Amino acid sequence: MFNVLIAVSLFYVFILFVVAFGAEKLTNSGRARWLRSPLVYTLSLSIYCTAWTFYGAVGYAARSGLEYLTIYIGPSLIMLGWWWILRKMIRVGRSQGVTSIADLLSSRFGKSNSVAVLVTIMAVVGTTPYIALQLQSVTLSLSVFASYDSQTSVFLDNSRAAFWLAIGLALFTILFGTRSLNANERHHGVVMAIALEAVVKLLALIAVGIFVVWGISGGISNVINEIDSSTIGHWDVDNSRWVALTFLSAAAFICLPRMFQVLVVENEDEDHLRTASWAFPIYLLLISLFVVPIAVVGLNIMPENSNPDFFVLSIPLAMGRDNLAIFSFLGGFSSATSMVIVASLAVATMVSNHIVMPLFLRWSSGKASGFGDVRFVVLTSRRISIGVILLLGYLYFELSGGGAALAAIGLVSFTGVAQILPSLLGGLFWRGATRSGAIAGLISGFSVWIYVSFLPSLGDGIVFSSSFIKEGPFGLDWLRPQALFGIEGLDPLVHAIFWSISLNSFFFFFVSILSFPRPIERLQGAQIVNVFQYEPSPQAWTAQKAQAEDLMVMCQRIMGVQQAKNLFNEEVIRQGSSSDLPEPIPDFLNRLEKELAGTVGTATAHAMISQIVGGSSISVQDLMAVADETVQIREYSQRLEQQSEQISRTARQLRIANEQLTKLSVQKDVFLSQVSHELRTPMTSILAFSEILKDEKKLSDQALKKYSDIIHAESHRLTRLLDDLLDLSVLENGQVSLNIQSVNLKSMIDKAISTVQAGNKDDKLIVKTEFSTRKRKIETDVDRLGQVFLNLVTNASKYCDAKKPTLKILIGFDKENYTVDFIDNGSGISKTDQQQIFEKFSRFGSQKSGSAGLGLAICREILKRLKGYIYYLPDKQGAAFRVVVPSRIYSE
Amino acid sequence: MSKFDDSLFLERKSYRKRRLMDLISMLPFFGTFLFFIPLIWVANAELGPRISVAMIYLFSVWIFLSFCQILLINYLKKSDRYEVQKLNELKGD
Repeated sequence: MFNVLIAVSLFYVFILFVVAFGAEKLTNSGRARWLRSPLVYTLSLSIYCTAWTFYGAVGYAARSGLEYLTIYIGPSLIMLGWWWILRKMIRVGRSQGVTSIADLLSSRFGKSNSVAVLVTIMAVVGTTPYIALQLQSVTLSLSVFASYDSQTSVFLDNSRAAFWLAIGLALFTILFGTRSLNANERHHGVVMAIALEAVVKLLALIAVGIFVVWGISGGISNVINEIDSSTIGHWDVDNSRWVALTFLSAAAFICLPRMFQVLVVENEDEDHLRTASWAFPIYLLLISLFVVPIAVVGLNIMPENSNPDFFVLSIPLAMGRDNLAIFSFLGGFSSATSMVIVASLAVATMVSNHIVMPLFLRWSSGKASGFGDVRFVVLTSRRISIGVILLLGYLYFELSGGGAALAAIGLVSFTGVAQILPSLLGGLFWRGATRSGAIAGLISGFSVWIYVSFLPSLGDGIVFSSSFIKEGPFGLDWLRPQALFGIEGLDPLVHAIFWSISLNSFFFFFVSILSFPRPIERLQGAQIVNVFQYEPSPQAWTAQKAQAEDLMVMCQRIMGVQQAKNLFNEEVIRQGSSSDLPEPIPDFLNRLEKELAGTVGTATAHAMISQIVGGSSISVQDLMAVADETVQIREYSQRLEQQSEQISRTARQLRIANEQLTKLSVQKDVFLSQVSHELRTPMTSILAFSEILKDEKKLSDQALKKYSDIIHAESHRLTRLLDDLLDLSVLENGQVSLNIQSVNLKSMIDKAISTVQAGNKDDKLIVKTEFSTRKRKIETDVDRLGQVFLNLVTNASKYCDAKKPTLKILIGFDKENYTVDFIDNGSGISKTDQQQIFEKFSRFGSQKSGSAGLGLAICREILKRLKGYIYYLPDKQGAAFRVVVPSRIYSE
Repeated sequence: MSKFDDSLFLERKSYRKRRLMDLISMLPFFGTFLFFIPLIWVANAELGPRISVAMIYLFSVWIFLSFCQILLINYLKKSDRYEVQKLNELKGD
């Protein structure tokens, strides 16, 4: 059976790899929307429930009754209170591009790396024993199995099993946690795998619970009787522990590096938090529901000396339910592995961003060219960090001997991590918190924790001898680690929480009040505390153009060549500049810093940019904004005013557009009635005369000829009208394809003149052409432009009412355009008519020509297509038109 | 509906949303209070309340709070959706 267990576990691990790999693949191909649902987010939070809670909760309940519930109640309250803390953390994380909890604190306290380093060290110290605890729980659960295996006498080497487990976990974390440098630090494969593990551990615990309640005890009422008559049958929880542990678990829930990773860094959408705010408390409720029944039944049916920590495994094994036991083992295995994976990933990110990278930056020569391939450095340092953290966990497991001392480390480790809480909450909600305050608080809380909780927890004689604990150092009894300042009788854990958190908060608060923050701290403080009110406008960088190239080189090394290029190109487009590198304006530098912060952390990104750009400048306005909130509020209200102004402007524009549309629709109706009228007139005469021809038998030849001439002429007119209409509609719809040729402008005009004169023998029009430029060549659509000239010459010949009609054509050239003026010596067009001559069906003067009045409208449309225009020149002696047409037309 | 009625309706909705936010932000404090009720019980291995009663009380509080949260979040979503819709209508005017 032991071999079956190993085979099943290996298969399970294989499935985890496949799931993680598949999720990565799906995300990369952009088809993974559902992978990032609120449900997956909620499930990923369950890494809070480690093997320590999976196995240990039952043991905890067997020893101390309902006290174990505090470990779940704290996080539930935090989730129910999402509105207060988590929502703000996620928003700040998003707006500042935060990669870890150390990064958040560093960002809040003026992008200070010393704060980040402190938090990182605390995280490593707090996480290592916890990882050891997970390794221990897996090896112990294996040995529970081995002890029940009667067929083969398995000799299980605990430390070898733990070693290989650590190797496997390191492999998985490196493979899926450091695949690439993600700008937003999200790891879809890892999240999907831990979501799956969350389901497995929940189902496993519920399955064992159901088996215990209905399979062994025979129903709920029996179980309740059994519970009430057991040794833990009455409420016996120390009040101080109830409060302190609830507080502690709530604090750890928001401060643990791994929780920050899944809560904030891996969060895809702020709205997911809303769902998780009720779904995660329900998850915790379900996972803690069967703990007491399992503990009580275990106490009743298992032999005296059996370890209650492993009732979840040993009860099914003792009852011969091997499959259930294997399932339960997988649950515990899931809890252990998912915690180790995320914790090592989160801590490794912190170590590489806040310790390795700054050292690397200091060692490599200061300027951008000295950075080397930073991408590779970041990834490698992160991989090595993961390996080192797991190695530390394994060593801790080895050295502590895997005994009971290790089991106590869970809450001790929580207390250590909770030291971040005062600085975190203070930083999020209090503008007055300063970097010195945070450092003072963190150091004092952390040292108190080491002294009163961590070192004593290692056990007798390892660091502190029992006499040291009893009598204090050098016989100073007020320094006794478990009775500081002579206050005795407190539970050691409550004692540790009380003193470490109180001193931490005390120093944080008073040092903050007494110290004076640097400008950048005040700015970051204002932005983070008021993250919901204001748009971020961080302090301004100042840079010269020459530095854009250095920035580009640096970005390529961190983000990869393609991504950096895309970012810079986007910026070039946004700035609308013509060179291929963007101007290093402050706005761009801020955006750049944020992008880089997503990869290497806030403090490092800030340091890198300041290495190139040479320090940030804070403008007077920025300082004003920090010093005086009213400035910001005024800006905000101004922005609102601007917005409302903009809206009313848009409304006005829409109204105007609407009026124009109405006018157009009226014009269209008028046009249609005009068209039908124009068509009707020739039609009527054609009909009338053709009827006469049909009905009148005796017509003289002369009359016959006259009538058929009329019919012919009217049909001609009709055809011309239809041609013109067709032409116009084609032009107006923009469906014309231009046929561009290069010709001599003079020959075009001459051709138009001779065409008109040839068509009308008794024309008396005299045409004079004058060039005021030597340029003749034009590249355009010759036929179309010729049509315009022809039309204008024809108009002059038709409508010029002078005795000796003369048309002057003046050709000039201005920059890129020809101007061609057509001026005759007639009486011209009256002022009121001038505005309408280019409209369709507009006719003036005598109607003898029988034209439809579309000529000028067509001219205007043609010129629009040729990128030119035509207008009437007032104040000349006769009718005068000016055609402006480009000498070269660029086809689109 | 006259313009006046319309604006009155909107005010009322946003007033309701404010109170909804109040409720959501108070829920964790209310929850803390309920979870700390056991502090006034007698803690004793023989005289304390039966543990099944304690369990039923604590789990009921838990379920109650979770369901309150579900309801509140649903209302919040609805009122968000209403605001978005209203905004779109304003834009469409």
